[in-house]
Formats: sequence, structure tokens, C-alpha cells
Amino acid sequence: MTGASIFALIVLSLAGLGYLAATDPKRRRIFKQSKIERRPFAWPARIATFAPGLYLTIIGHWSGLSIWAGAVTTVGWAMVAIQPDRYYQARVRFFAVFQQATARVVPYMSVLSGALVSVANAAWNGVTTRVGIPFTALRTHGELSSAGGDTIVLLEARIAELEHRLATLEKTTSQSEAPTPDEENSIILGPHASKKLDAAE
Amino acid sequence: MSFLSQAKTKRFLSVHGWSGTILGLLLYVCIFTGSIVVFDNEIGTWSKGQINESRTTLGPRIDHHFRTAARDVDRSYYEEVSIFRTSEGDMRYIFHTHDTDPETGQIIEPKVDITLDPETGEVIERWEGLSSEQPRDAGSALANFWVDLHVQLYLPNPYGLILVGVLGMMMMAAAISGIIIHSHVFRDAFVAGRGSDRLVGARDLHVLAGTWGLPFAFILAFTGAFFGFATSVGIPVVAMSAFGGDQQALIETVIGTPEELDLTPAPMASLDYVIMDATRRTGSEVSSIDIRNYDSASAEILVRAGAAEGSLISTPLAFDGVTRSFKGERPFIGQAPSLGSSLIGIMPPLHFGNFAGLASKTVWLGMGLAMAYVTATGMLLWTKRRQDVALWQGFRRWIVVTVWGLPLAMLVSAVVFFLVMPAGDPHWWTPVGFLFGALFAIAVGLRRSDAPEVLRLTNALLCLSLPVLRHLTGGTSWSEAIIAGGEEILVIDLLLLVFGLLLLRKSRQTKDERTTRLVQEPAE
Repeated sequence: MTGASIFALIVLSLAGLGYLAATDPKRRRIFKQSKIERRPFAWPARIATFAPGLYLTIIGHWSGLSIWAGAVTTVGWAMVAIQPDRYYQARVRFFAVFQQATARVVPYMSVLSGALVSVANAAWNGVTTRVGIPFTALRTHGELSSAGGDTIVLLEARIAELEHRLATLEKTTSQSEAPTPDEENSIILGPHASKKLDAAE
Repeated sequence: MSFLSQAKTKRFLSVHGWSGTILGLLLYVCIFTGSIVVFDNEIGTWSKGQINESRTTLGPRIDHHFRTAARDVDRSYYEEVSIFRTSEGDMRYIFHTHDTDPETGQIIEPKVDITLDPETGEVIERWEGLSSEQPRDAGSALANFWVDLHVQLYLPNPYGLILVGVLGMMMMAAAISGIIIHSHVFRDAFVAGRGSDRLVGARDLHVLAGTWGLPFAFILAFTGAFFGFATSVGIPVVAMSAFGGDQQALIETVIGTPEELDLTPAPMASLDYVIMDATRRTGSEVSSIDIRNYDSASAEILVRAGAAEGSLISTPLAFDGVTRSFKGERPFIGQAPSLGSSLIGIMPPLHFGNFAGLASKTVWLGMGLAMAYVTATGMLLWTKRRQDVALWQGFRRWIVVTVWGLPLAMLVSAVVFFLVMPAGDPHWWTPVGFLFGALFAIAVGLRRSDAPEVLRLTNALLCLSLPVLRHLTGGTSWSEAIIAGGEEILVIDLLLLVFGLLLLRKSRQTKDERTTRLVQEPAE
């Protein structure tokens, strides 16, 4: 097994982890993302995450297994440690820069890049929140194209960015309140901690 | 885990917190330095500025040059010969024997150490004398110092090893109690830090990093404790309890009694043939050879090759030194392959992460830094929960000093190393540089309220200045490194520059500044 194959297995596991993180209900709730009704690809994602490790174990490739496990846990931690709004911000910026750059280089490319961006956006939303990726992507792209193409996507991205900034500001303001001792105990020891601690003491 | 009552959870929380906090600063030092010295060979090449232009394996034809060199060595040194390549790619032969000093009763190792050009066979350096008196290589002072700092915290033997073993045990205790007290390991596995200064924010950061790093925290702690205790405590204790203090008897029982030796001179088998045979059997290239009782009827050749495809362990192969016949694999302990031998053999690759070159080393570096992060955030969480107690607030300052001061002191030791390398004794000055850096960090940490910012900025400037300083003090330039294939030099320089720039950027972005900018920035 070559280094490239092990790298591919690591990427597969990280893709699975990425999906699980993006659709994790608790993570979405804490970071005030929209609630999703179902996670259509949760099991495929779990399989993608763990199957490479199982495969390396079955074939007895211990060095590959060690590298896979180390890389998935370390990079997985780094992926999860980044807050969802940062990813969102990065995605919006990337798409905006991508479209502006392509529009400057070749004018007619902006139409194509607008389509690409809308498809990518829709695919992301489809993967994380809806069932049919291709249909969602096509539908969204169709709606955007009929309404004016890349200009709408750019405006949409800008509005989303401004909304995100507003949400960040609101969050910063709300964080200035200090928690009560009971709240802090419940953070560490779970709900009803103070009552139980009193009983234990 | 809900099977524990609240009182028990609280008790385990105390075990977890105290095991991570007592000696937690030393644990952080041990883990952080350990992460860095995973690349000790690469750091050695970078600091020496000498490029390994050739291979690290022995190559197919070494027999002729070896026999020529051996002819000039007295037979009394033939007891054991080690053959390997130096990090510069030269061939090195160490002929040595073991003796007891009649005055002190200590074991001594007289040796003849020969370094020669692998192509021409020309002797580059020859040294004869006691191993303990051999001058140390000035170029390796930096890598050696950092390794010593990790292995024994630069304390004398055996105290350093014992202390590091204790730290490993405490890390294991923290890892196990961490699993027990954390009731939502899987449910919280995707919850990022909430970016808050409150307790919940600190807890998120610690729990997330701890959850993901848990398996490797246990592995690194266990293997680290093993290396700390095995020789410093394990062997003496077992010898004392089972062999009446006779360590030699213990070793003979575990390793096996040596065969009766026939030291009659006998023609040696070709090393080239043995290398070819070993390469065929293992499927990987030979990295080193040890010959016992060279040029005698009892000669034995032990060949070490890289681990086979997919394996973590590379077991040495034994060949008869005269007939060149294959005698079998030589287990790490005992005379026959066993589970114990495999477990001993698996410890080094799992701890050092050196079983698959740069790929595995990079992963181990990441895991080590993640563990250092867990340790630091754990200590900060502990003090945050006790922010009304002056003692813990004082401890919090020391955490800041250690977290930012350790890399700073290591960077200062590197700066001093490069400054004194051309003229002075880097083995003496490198630790002194570390001490200066540590004192600076302590002074800043204890006197200034903005210590993290100051220390971060100093770290940034040191990172940015090191590649320049290395070049100015006669180090290999980037163009020379690229031409000669010295990627390590280029990569380490670039990493330092990237880290320096990131730290510089970060040091200018305090949280308040970020918030202010967000508020004041007008919409376009």
C-alpha cells in the first residue's frame, strides 16, 4: 500500500467527519445554526470515517493504521475546533473572491463561475440539510440563472456576510454576562449539580 | 458516564484535576519538547548546516572499505563493532570493548571510532580512547540539548528519567479519570470552543482537545512512562526483588546466557553478501550492522533493516559471522520470539513515531502539540474555576510563563547556539541560552499584566530572526540546500518564518481590537 493510498483513506475519513460535524445537532444548536430535520448521509459518513481504519486493521498494515489514526484524530480535532461561522465566513469570502477574479480575467467566465458557485452552495446545503444533492443543486442553479445569474449570488453572499457580522456582534454583547456559581457547576458536572453536590457534602 | 454518582464524579474530577495540575508545568515541558524532538535528526541537520547528500542506509558494497579500516585496529577492540552512516552520509565504524575501571569499579568502554568517505574509503576522522572522554560533536549540541530536555528534563541520571516516568504515570491517570468523569464524550465530540472568556469556553477547549487526543494521550503516556522507568527503576527493582540485587543475573535470565566463545581467528563472511541476504528477507534496506567478536570463530553479525511494508517493528536478523548462514530473527528479549518481545519492540516506534519517515513524524508532532494544548488548557481551566483564590491566580501566571516561555527559551537556546557555534563551545552555551530565555520569560510573566502578548511577540521575532541568523553565521543557504537535496533546512526555515508571521499577526489582534474593528467598520 503506497503513501498516496493511505493519504486517500485519511481524506475519506476526514470527509466523513466533516459531514458529521457539519450536521451534528448539538453543534448546530450551540452555534445557533438552523435546525435540520434529518441527516440523510449520517450512516455513509460514519462508514466513511471508520471503514479505512477497519480495512487497514484487516490487512494488517499497522504502520498505515497508526498514521491514519493519528492523522484523523489530530486533523479531525483541528477541523471540529473551528467554529461553524468561521467556515461560513471563509466560504462566502472564497466564492466572492473567486467570482471577482474570474470576472476580471475573462468577462464571460463570470457567468460560468456564478453557476459553479451557486451549484457548490446548493450542493453544500443539499449535503448537509437535504436529501437530493443533484436535484437541489440543479433547482437552485436554475432559480438563480433565471433571476440574473452571478449578480444575485454576489449580493446573496454579501448579505450573508453582513448578517454573520451582526450575529457575531450580538453574541459578543450577550457574552459579557458572568455565569452564576450554579451555572458553572452545571457546566462542569451536568444538570442539577448544585443539589447533588450539597447532598454529597 | 451516568453510572457514577455525583459524589464519585466529584472525586474523579479531583483526581483528574490534581494529577494534571501537580507537576503539570513539567508535564507540559516534557510533552512540548517531545513533540519537537520527534524531528531530532532533521533539527541536527538544520543546526549543523551540513547536508546529507547521500543515503542513510548502508548500501550494497561496504565490505572492502571496512576490512581495510579494520586491519589498522588492534584486535582488543574486536569484541563489538557497530557500522552505520552518520547524518552527513559518511560511513562510521565503532570498534569497542567493555571493561571495568580498576580504580572506580565503573564499566568503561574503550573504543576506536573511524569516520570515512563511503565512496573513496578515505579516513575523515579517527579517534581512540575511552567513550566517556570522546569530544562531543559541536554541531549536534542544539538537538542533543532539546532531546535531553525531553528525556530527563536536563536533570542528572537517574532522577530525570524517574521524574519523566512519574509524569507519564500522571498523564495516564489524567487520561483515564478524564474518560470516567466526562459524561458526554461522543455527544460533545463536535462541539467547538464557544469563543467565550467564561468557564464554559475554557471547558469546551479542554474537553474537545482531550476527547480527540485521548487514545494517543494514553499511548504516549504509557510508552513514556515505560522509557522513564524501565532502566532507572524497573531493572534495579526486579534485580533486587528476584535476583538479590544481581543485575547481571537478571539480564542473563531475560536475554539469555551467552554461548561459550571461541575467539580463534577465522575468516569473516562478506558483509556485502549478508546485506544482500537481509535485504531480500526483509524487503527493506539495511540501516546498521553490529558484529560481535569480529574476526573469530564465534563471530555473529546482527543486521538491522527498516521495518517491512506495513509493519511497525523491525526485528534484527542474526547471521553467522564465518559461514554467513542465517541464524534467525533476534528478539528484543529472550531467545525466541514472544509476546513480551513484540511489546518491547513496539514501544519505540509508538513513542518516537519514526516508523514511516516524515509522514509518521509529522502526525506524531501534531499529536504531541495537541497533548501539550490539552495540558495547558486543563491547567487554565483548573485555575479559572478557582479565580477567587490568590494561590491559584499566582499559579495561573506560571502557566502563562511556561506555555509561552518554553518555546521562547528553546528559541533563545537556538540563537545562542548559532552565535557561539563558529568559535565557542555550544554544548555549554546552548543550555545557558535556554536559561537566559527562561529568566526573561519569568521576569515578563511575573511583572507585566500583558505578559502573553509580550511573550508572543518575542517568540514571533525570534522565529523570524533564526533563519537569518543561521544563514549569517555560515549556515547552508537555501539555494545550496535545494541543489544538494537538503529539504530539512529549507522546511525548518520556512516553518519558522510562517510561525513567526502568524504569531506576529496574532499579537496585533487582541480580542478587544477585533471587536472594535467589527463595530467600527462601516458597511460598504
